[in-house]
Formats: sequence, C-alpha cells, structure tokens
Amino acid sequence: MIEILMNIGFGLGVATFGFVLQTAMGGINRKIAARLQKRRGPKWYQEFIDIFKLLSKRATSHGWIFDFGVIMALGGIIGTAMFMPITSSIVAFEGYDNFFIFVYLIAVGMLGMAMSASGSGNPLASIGVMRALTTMLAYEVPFMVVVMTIIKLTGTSSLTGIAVAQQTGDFNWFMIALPLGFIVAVMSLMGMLGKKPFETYIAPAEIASGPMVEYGGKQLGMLFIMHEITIFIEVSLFVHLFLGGAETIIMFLIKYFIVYAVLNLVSNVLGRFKIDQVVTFFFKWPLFFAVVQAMIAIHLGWVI
Amino acid sequence: MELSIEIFILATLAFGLMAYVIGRLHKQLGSIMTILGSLTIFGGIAYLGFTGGLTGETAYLTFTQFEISEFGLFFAIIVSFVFAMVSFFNPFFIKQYKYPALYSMLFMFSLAGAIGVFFSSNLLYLFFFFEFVVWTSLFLIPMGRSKKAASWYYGFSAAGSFMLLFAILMIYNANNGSFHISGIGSVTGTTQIIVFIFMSGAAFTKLGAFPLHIWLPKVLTNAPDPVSAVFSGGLEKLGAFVALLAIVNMGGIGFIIPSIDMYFGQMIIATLGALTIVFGTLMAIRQDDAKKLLAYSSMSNGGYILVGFSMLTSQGVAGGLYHIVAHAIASTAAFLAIAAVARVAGTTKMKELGGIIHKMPVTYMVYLIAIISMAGIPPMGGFISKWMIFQAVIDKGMIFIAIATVFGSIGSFLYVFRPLAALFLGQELPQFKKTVKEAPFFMLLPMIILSLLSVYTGVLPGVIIDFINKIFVDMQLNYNIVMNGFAIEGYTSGIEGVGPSLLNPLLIACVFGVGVFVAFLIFIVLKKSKKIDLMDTYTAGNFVYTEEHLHYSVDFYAPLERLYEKYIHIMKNFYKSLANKVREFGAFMKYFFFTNKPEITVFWIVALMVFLLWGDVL
Amino acid sequence: MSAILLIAVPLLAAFISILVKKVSPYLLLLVSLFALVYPFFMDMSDVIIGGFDSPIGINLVVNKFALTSLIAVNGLFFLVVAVNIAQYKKLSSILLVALAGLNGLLLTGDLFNLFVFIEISGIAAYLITTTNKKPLQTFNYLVAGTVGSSLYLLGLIILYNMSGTLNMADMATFVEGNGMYTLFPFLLMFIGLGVEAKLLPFNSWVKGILGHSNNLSGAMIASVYATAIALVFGKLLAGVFQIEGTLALIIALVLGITILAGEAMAYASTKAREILLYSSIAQAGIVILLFTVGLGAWATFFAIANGVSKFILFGVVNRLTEEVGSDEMDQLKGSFVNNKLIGVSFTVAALSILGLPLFFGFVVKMNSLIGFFEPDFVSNLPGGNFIFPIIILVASVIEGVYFVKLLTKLWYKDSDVKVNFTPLFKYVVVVLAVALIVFGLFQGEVEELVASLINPGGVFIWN
Repeated sequence: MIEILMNIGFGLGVATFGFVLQTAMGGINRKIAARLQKRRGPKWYQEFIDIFKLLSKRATSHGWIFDFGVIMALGGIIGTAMFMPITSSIVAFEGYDNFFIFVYLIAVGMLGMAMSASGSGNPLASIGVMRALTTMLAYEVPFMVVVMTIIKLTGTSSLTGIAVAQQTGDFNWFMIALPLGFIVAVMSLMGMLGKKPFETYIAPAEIASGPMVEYGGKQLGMLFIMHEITIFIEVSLFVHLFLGGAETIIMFLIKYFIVYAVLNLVSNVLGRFKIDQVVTFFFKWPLFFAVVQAMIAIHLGWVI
Repeated sequence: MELSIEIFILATLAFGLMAYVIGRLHKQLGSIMTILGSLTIFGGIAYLGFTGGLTGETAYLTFTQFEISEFGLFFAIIVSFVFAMVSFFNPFFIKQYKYPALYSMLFMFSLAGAIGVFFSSNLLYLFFFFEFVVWTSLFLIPMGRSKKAASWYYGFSAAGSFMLLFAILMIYNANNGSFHISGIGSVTGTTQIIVFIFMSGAAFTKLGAFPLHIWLPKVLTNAPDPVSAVFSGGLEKLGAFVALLAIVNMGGIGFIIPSIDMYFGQMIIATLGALTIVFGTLMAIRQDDAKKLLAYSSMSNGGYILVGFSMLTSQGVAGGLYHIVAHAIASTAAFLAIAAVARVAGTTKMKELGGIIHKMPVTYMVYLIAIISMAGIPPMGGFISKWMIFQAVIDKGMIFIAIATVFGSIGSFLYVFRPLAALFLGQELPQFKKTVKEAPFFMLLPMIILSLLSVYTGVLPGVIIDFINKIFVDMQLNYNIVMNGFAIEGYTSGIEGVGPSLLNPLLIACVFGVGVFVAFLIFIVLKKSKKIDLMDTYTAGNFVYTEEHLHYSVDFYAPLERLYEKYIHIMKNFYKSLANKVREFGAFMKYFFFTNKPEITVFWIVALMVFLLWGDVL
Repeated sequence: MSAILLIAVPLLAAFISILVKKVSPYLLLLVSLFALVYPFFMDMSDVIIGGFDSPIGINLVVNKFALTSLIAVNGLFFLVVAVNIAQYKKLSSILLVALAGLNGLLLTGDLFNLFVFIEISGIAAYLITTTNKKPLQTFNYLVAGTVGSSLYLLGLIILYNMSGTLNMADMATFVEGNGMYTLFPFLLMFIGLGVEAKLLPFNSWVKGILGHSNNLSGAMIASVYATAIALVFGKLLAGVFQIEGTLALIIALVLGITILAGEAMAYASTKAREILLYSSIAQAGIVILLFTVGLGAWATFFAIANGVSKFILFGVVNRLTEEVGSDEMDQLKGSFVNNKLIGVSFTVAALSILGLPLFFGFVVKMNSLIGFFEPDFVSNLPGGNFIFPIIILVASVIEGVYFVKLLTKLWYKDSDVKVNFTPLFKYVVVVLAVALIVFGLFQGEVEELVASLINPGGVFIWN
C-alpha cells in the first residue's frame, strides 16, 4: 500500500517535472525563435508567468460540461505523464510503461478538452476540434506503423524496454536503425505538437485559436498546463523510441532539448497547411515511407 | 440445482407467448413480460452456467441435442444480458409500434433462437435456430422507420445462413452422416476449404463485415431504437460465434505464406477484417444520422473481432473474444442512449439536434462512457481488447492489417465525437428547451448498469480473461493468457533485462483517477468562475441571436469527407446492380417465354429434341 | 373395397349432376368428401381391371405413395371446392370430372391409361379456367396442353413399339436393359408432362392462366393440379424413366433454368399473383428435380407442402384482388392490417415456402437437401452432387427477398383496405396454417412417415 502511494507520489513528481521542464523549454525556445527573427523575445520564464496569472484570474464558465471537460483533460494528461519514464531507471511504475497507454490515455485528455470546447457552444471551437481530430487521424497512422515496427523488432511494448534495447546494443538508436521511419516520426511529431505546418487546428488568425476560443482564467490556465505536459509526453516518447532513451537525467535533458529545439526551428520557417492538405500529406509520403520501412525491417530483416 | 438448457429455450418461448397474450390485453404489460422474461433467462443461464448447473439433456426437444460448452455459455450470457438490458426500454417504446404484442413476442423468440444456436451440438439444429433468429428478428425491423430494410436484411441473412447450411451439409457429407459439432474440426482437404469459405461467409454476413455489410447500417438505422441495440449488441454476435467456430476452430486453412508464416486463409480473413474496419470507419465519419453512425461503428468493430480471430494466437483470439464483450456492452449502451434521446426529441439526425446534455446529463454520461470504450480508450473495456489485438497484429508483423487497425482506432475518435459534439453538446436549440427531459428511471437503470460494466471490464479484466482461458481449454486450443496479478501479460521480448509487456488496467484506472483528482483539486482551490449563457460567446464582433447559427453540426468532417466521398458507394452499387441483374434476367425470361406466342414453346421443344438426337447420333 | 370407386363415383356423380342441376353442388361436396375419406379405408392391394392380369390389362396401383398423394390431392380439392362452390355452382359437373381425372392420374399403373386421365383432367382444367374470363389465355392453355399430351402420346407409342408393354412396372424392367434406346421417347414424354408441370420453356400458358386467376381457378390450378401433376410426373421419373447421357444434361439444364429463372421472374414482378405463379414455377422445378435425382420420398412431401402453402397464398391473394380490383403490390399494401388472422396464415404459408424453421417447409427443404449430401448419394444428373443444392439455395435467397418485400408491404403499410373473408375461408386457411406449423414442429414423426414410403431397396413407387 505504502509502496503504491510512493509510486503515485513519484508519478506526480514526474508529471510536475514534465510541466516545469516543458514550460521552461517553451520559454527558451520562444527566446531562440525571437533571436533568429532579430527580436529580443520574452523572458525564458514568461510562460510560467502567463500560466500563474491565468490561474489566479476569475473566469467565466459555460456550464458544467465546460468545467468537467477541463478537469478530465488535465486529469487524463497528468495520469498519462505519471507513467512516463525519464531515464531507464527513473520510472514511476516499472514494467507498466506500455507504449499504448501513452497513445490511448492521452486520448482521454484530448477527448476531455474537445468535449469542453464543444460544450462552450462556440462554433469556432467545434471547428478547431474537428481539425484537431482530423490532424490526429493523419499523423497517428504513419507514426504507429513505425512504432509497431520497433515493437515488433524489440519484442516489447514497454517504453523502458525499448530504450534498454537500444542502450544494451541489441539495436542501434532507432533513428539510425530505421532511418526512413525516423523521418516519418519527425513529421508525425510535428503534427502531434501542433507545430507549423500542421497547426491548422489552432490557426489563430483564422478560427480564433480554435478549441481555445472561449477560455479564460483558470480554465485556460489548466489547459495550458495540460498542453505543456502533453508536449512533454510526446517529446519524451520520441526520445525513448528513437534516441535510445536516456541513462541519466542529464542525457535526457540534452536529448529533449535538441529534439524540441530542432522541431521548433524547423516549424518557424514553414507556412500552414490547409486541413485536407494535412491529411493527404500524411497519407502520401510518410505513410509510404513508414510501410517501406516496416517491410524492410520486418520481412527482409534489414536493420542498420 | 441443475436445469437443462432446453428448459430455458422453452421458457423463453413461453415468456414470448405470454407477452403476446398479455400484450393483446395491455400493451405495456406485455412488454414488461419481456423484461421479466429476459431477466429470468439471463439470470438463470448466468447463475447456472457459473455454478455448473446447466445440462444439455433433452426431454422435450428430443429431435436435437445440446451440449454445454464454455464458448456457448460465454455468448449466451452476453446476448441474454443485452436482451435483458434492452428489454427495459420496451415499455417506453411499445406505443410507437404497429403490432405491440407481436413485438414483445418476437423479441423473446429471437432470444430463444439465439440461445439455441449457442448450445446446439447438432449442426443441423444449430442452423434451425440460426434461421429461427433470422425470421423472428426480421419482423421486428419494419416496425421502425423503413420497410425496405427488412428485405435487405433478409436477403443478406438468407445468403449467410444458406452458406452456413451448405457448409454444415458438407461436414455432414464428409463425416459419414453425422451432424455433431465436433465434425467441423475433422474435415480435410478440399472439403475443409469449402467449409471454411462458406462458414466464414456466414460469419461475415451476420457480423456485417465487408463485403457483406450493406444490410447492417440499413437495419440498424431503420429498426426500432431498442431493436437496433439488440442487433448491434446481441444478434450480430451470432456472426462472431460462427466466426469462432470457423476461423479459430478450424485453424489454418490453405497453404502457408512463407514470408509472414501465416496461412492463406488467415491472411484473407485478416485482410477482409481490415477492410471492414477501414470501410466502417470512413462511412461512420460521414453519417449525419446518429444511429447510422453507430451502425457503421458496429461494422468496424466487427472487423476488429475478425482481425483478432484471424491471428490465431493467444493474444489475438483472446482479444477478439474480449472485444465481443466490450463491444456488446458499449454499443448497447450507446444505442440505448441515442434511443433515449430519440424518444424525447423525435429524431436521431444530428443536424436537427443540439445541446441535449443540458436536459439529459445522465444519458450523456452513459453515451460518453460507451464511446470511450468503443474508441478503445482506457479505462474502459474496449481498450483492453484493442490492446490485445494490437499486440497480436504486431507480433505477426502484419503491416497493412496494422495500418487498418490503427486507422480504425483513431478514426473512431473522430466519429464517436461527432454525436457528442453535435447532438449532446453545442448550443441548446430552443425547440428542445421545453420538450426534452431526462429519461425515466427505468430507462436510466440499464444504461447505468451497462456503463458500470464498461468500466468494470476496463479495470478488472481478470474474470473475463479467466473465462476466455476456460474457453481455450474447452475448445482444445493451445492458447492461454497469463494474468500477472491484476496485469495482463503480453509478449516477452528476447532482449535481456526486459520483462514481458504488461498491461495493468487497474493501475491505469487508479492513476487516471489520481490525475483527475489532482486536476479537480487545482480547479476547486482556484477562484470560482462566473456562469454565463451559451449564447454569450466570442463571435468576432457579429451579433448572432439564433442558436442554430452558433451550432456547428452539419457536415462536421467536410474537409476529410471530400477526400473520399467519390468512392463510398462502390459496394452498395455492386449489390444494387446485382439485384438489378436478377430483375433484368427475370424480365428477360418473362418477355421471352411468357408471351402469347406458342411458337416459342414449340421452338424449344424442337430444339431440345434436336439437341438430344445430335448428341446421341453424332 | 376397391380403389376403382375413387374414379367411378365422381364420374357417375358427374353424369347425375347434369341431370339434376339443383343438387349438383351438394353432390360435388359429398363426392369430394368421399374421395378424401375413402382412401383411409381402402384395401392396400392393386386393382386389376377387365379381368386381365397386369402387365396385359390395366391396373391401378395402390400403395403408400398413392395413398399419400390421394389424401393430399383430394384433401386440397375438397377444401378448394368447399370454399368456392357457392360462387361457382355451374362448374359442379366439371369439377367432378376433374376429381375423377385427378384420382385416375394418381392411381393408374398403365402408361396409356395415364394419357387418358391427363386428357380428362386437362379438359376439366381448361373449362375451369374459362371462369377467368380470358378466353385467349384459356385457348393458349388448351393448345399448350394438347401439344404436351400429344408429345407424351408420341413418346409412348415409340416406347410401346419397342417394348410391347404399356404397364409401368413392366416398362420399368424393360427400360433397365435398354437405356440407350429409350432416351428419345423419354424426352418426348418429359416435355409432354413438363408442359403441365410448368417446367420452363414449355410453360408459357402459366402466366395467362394464373396471372388472371380467380378464387377457384387459382387455387385449383396452382395447388391441386400442380400437386397432382408433380406427383404423377415424379412417379414416372422415379419409377419408369431411366435418365442418362444427353437426356440427363437436357433435364438438368431445364430444371436448373426453371428454378433460377422462376425465382428471377418472380423477383422482377410487382403483381402479387405473378409473384406467386413464378414462384410456383420454381417450386415445381425443385420438386421434379428431387424426383429425378431419386429423392422421391421427400419430393412427395415437398409437393404436398407446396400445394398447401399455395392454396393459402393464391386463395388470399385472389380474394384481395377481387375486392381491391388490382393485384399490384402497391395497391394491396396494408391489406393485413385489418385482417390479422388471414395475414398470419398467409405469412405462415409464405415462411413455410421459404423453408424457415418451425414450419413444414423447413422440414421438407432441409431433408431434401440432406438427401443430396448423404455419403452414399450419387446424382444421376451432370454437374455432381452439389450443383443442385447450390441452385436451390441461391433460389431460396431470391425467393426470400421478394416474399419478405411482399409481406412487409402487406403488413406494415398504412392503408384502409378492408376485405371481408367468409368465415369458412378463414377457418380453412387457419386450419391449413396450423397444419403447416404442426407438421413443422413434429419433425420426427414426419421423418418416420417419409421413411415408411421407402422400402429397403430404395425404390418407393412400386412397393
């Protein structure tokens, strides 16, 4: 019993860590982007300030489902983050960090947010949700094919298991072992993070921030927290799957920073796709590459 | 206590007759009989089944034989449970039907037939009950919205059941005139392939799998609302039952494809199952009618069952079986929730509905839980089955099947969200502000029970996994699912230091609960929000006073739909043109042979004589 | 008591009825009741006529098969007459002749005598169909029927020339040794009987007759005559004919096309009577097929079940048509809403034809199909054992679709069609429907009954 409570406390620690890490990373990357554009940019802790300001403000609510959805969203994401390993040994629930939990439990959070947004009664929010779900359908399929290839190769769907498999030398880092798959995963990750060119569902100038349009105050603050943790989950997932995980927390931070910063830089020079372009894009080359990679790796056994 | 299964079948029939007689006197009382009847039957079968008190002896129905098998019991419990839950809705809908007493009777009769199918050890009488279900359920359908659906249903069902019959007769022929169910496994050679094809065909039709799925959306859309629930949750599972007998029981059919180490038969079933998933998903995404949407979702979930079965591994088959449970519960709940809405709102078209949640919050929660399970999101039952099926597909390394399963899974987020957003959420339309109110207690009761079960199957899979293991033993299959405490064990990696993949649903549920609790704490300690009206939203400076204009529900996924809308009618057109071909052939024959000209007859007589003489002389 | 009375009494009554017109309907009723009851008390022994032993003289074969057929056909005949006689009093004498002809058909053991009875019953049939008030159609029927019986006669002459016998049993032994030479006469006879039995290229009369039938002629031709002809045809196919070579191919084609095209034509029809008549063409094809391949015992019951169902179907539809003035399905929709009892009986009859469980049709259809799959069964038609079961099953699917369409239209549409059925008709129809259910429920008993038709050798016609 005590042990379980300890684990849960540990998990909550991981979630908090993720939140702090990503919020800081977000701030730093805003700074980097600004410097590239010859601006000064905000302070690196600006995002913390934003979130705590929002949390402290009195907000409006559109009914119980509006609030309930927010709680469900944040709760789902915190729950997911609690399973996330940071290094191969720092993991709250050892052995239970199944890949599918991250894909599906994260969906609870997404669903909660979508529900809450739709419950606000604003059509722009519904359009945003529609676009978000459609984007999800697009990026998730090629990504899952690549991950399934990895699971097939390593024989485990445990995230630490996959990381360990790369560390012990059974496999190279999968970014090297499965180069095509890695490219696909990068594109998918950009979709997951809602970075340009796949940020169609937020599209600030077009649909008034989409799902977020009706939020303010603590609800918006909570959704920001949720958003930061989501990004933490997705990027760490990528680190564990393709970059060999991390033996130490320092390595984790370095890898995390590199992935996030590179993606951020790439996205800053790209424009925005239309929503049907997002779908056709992902179902064309990324899916094709993913399938080719899977064929090569599984049926021919060619893994570098 | 010991009771023979035939007592249950006879009792169900008797309840049906009683429901009819009472129904003639008083509509509602008759339908209440269906509640009593199906609850009794479910309770009896479940209780005796678990305590080992069921026997297969026949004292009255001496022409057939029954055997109590674990898989029969499994299906019988699920289906009778679905019937029992749906029956609570009957009294509230009975007034809408043209023949209320008949409805109550046929409702019970279909249950009797279904139980008969699951326990028959004589294949001929398995078919007898199979057909019995077809015609009893047939007359339930036209009591709903459209009469045409019935003939589509019959056409496909008949095709399916005759395929089953043909397979059964082939087995009979190959086994020296024995109809015993064990004969399925003992056919060999070409006969085995034929039996496999035809039995799978039967399973596909009943399950509504591609390419024999056309009837399913038609029936589920147009049948009376409770009947749709029965079909989706209950009667469709007859197909899964046949699939289990055919696909799993017969094992690998055909030659082995070397590169993936699978039998050709497996490959075909898996591919068709995958197509079912993709097709059902794409079609569900574009529906405007909530029932039709759920119908296509049923179809796509049927595909998961087939994919699971076709893998022929512990995880796959167990996943398929688990999915039967999870989907039966979830889809029954979803259909019932929509039925409850349709009862007060008078429509299931999403573009006409909106904001129902404000008057029917419990129904909404039921629907929410149901779709979470259908989309395979933890902590509901659907997650566990999908996880096992994924594991199996990955383990076999079947990429294209994997793409379909993933696509169906993510696609299901899209379509299940559709009724949520358009029907329950969004602006509360003024026409529903007065008329709509929450469903009465006795409608909520079954829905709540189903929701709780959805959660239960998603949190504590142990009981069902044990049951599935017993089925494996009973069917003499070399499969087994290992439970590691509360966790289900997946595949073990060959890599040192890495344990087997584990899935601990209880842990997930707890962690999720902790997450929600934390979120709730954050929410509650912060300042209370001000409640404002739904119309009080950001409109970019426009003044909008009509709710409809702020309700986004028509053509929800229009950009996505545009990408494939050209191709959606291929199968439907195929069957329509098939029907047309038959009609044309008939019209041609009519035109050719049935004129008022006896010359044609004479011509044929002469032609036949010439043919005979030619053949014999030359 | 001799079986000859079954032929003699109706004929005698026919003459009397011409003399005393007023009592003729009652006479008809009485005699047809007699014909129904009498077989139960009949001696089970062959009857020799004119003092010559068979094979030289004419004989009547009385056995279980004949008995079963007689009870079924006379029973249906009695019911048809009882229900309709009030409307068609004038036809009493003709109906008596028809009864004599039909009984003769079922009893006779002589091939030429059979021709005579075909003609007698045929003439009666032409006259019955005159009540349709479609003279041209009746004329077509007459021409077709005459051509048919002439072909039969032609074939018979050739056979007689070869064998020197007209006795069926005797002919059967002759045929066994000389299969090759008898194919042509058999084809002629097959075609000849095929005309009456509604097999496909020879049945152009059916649409004209049944498509415009009335209460009497519909039930009479589609139910009573169809059953009788099917059974007689079956008797020849199972007991006399030997089918091989090209003849087998021809027969297989004719039967296959009859079954499939019959169902397709019914599917393509929108008129209730047309649907039923085309469906009965297909059913006739199935019955003849079963007889041909040697599943005669079940074919007998198939024919009977079909006769009973068709009685109900045609009876109800003709009555509806008479009242509504059209037999278009759309005009008849909702007819059963106000006539539930009739509707239920109609539904039972239809479901029985479809071969759905609980009804008699299921028992016969299943057992017939099982016959094809018995391990020791060898089909004498080309295409192997399994082609014809598949054809029957495909046909059943098509059949199901149009019957279900018909049923849903008749039951579930709203309309104010209100048709009065006489209490007697209702009673008869309900009793028959109940009979279909009872026979469907007591499958074991039916199977015993059928088994008793077959003697150990497998041949059941001459025992």
